[in-house]
Amino acid sequence: MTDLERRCSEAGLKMTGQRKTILEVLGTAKDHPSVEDVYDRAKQLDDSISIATVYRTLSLLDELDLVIRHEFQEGYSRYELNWDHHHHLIDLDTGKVVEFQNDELEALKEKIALELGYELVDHRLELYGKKIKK
Amino acid sequence: MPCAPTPHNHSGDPATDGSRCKCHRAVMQAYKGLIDDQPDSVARQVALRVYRHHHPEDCITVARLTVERWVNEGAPH
Repeated sequence: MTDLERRCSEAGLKMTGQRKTILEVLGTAKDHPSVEDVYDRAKQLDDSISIATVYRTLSLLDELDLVIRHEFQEGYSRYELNWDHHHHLIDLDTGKVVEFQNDELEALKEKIALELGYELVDHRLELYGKKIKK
Repeated sequence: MPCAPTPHNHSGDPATDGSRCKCHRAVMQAYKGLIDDQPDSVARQVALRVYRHHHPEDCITVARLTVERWVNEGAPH
């Protein structure tokens, strides 16, 4: 079971084969696919999937806050997985890895991309530090 | 300029190197702390950065080879 499937199960979503396929499509997407995009990609993996199943599954994932629904003023929604988004600070002396989340940082990254004329799609950031001695 | 070994270069034997320096433990802790969460290439880059903090005197080639050896030895086969 993948981490994502585990999160879905913990949220009470029964993991059927078709739902796993839809999660696989979302998990490997490098963009923000629409329902139709998800359907087309899922169909290539399992041709028994219907668009109604994709709609229902995305709706359930949205209700469970496992996907983020984007409205890009196109008249339809686009989706991305709601990853447990975090960054890492690495202690250079010991190698200890500290996970952190920071809303201001997230907003700043979006703002920088936007000011450069881009929609932020992906990024990577690691901080390196030395423990301050008290 | 060729990358000459320095007196601080590690033999690659963590048992003996570990007695001289904490870098092996730090490198492996960083790598293992990321490998379940990040692509292997990212975990290796971070491990290399930690190594270079401990051994700035090593040239990048020696540092990379040392870290690669440690990580590969520690990886499950």
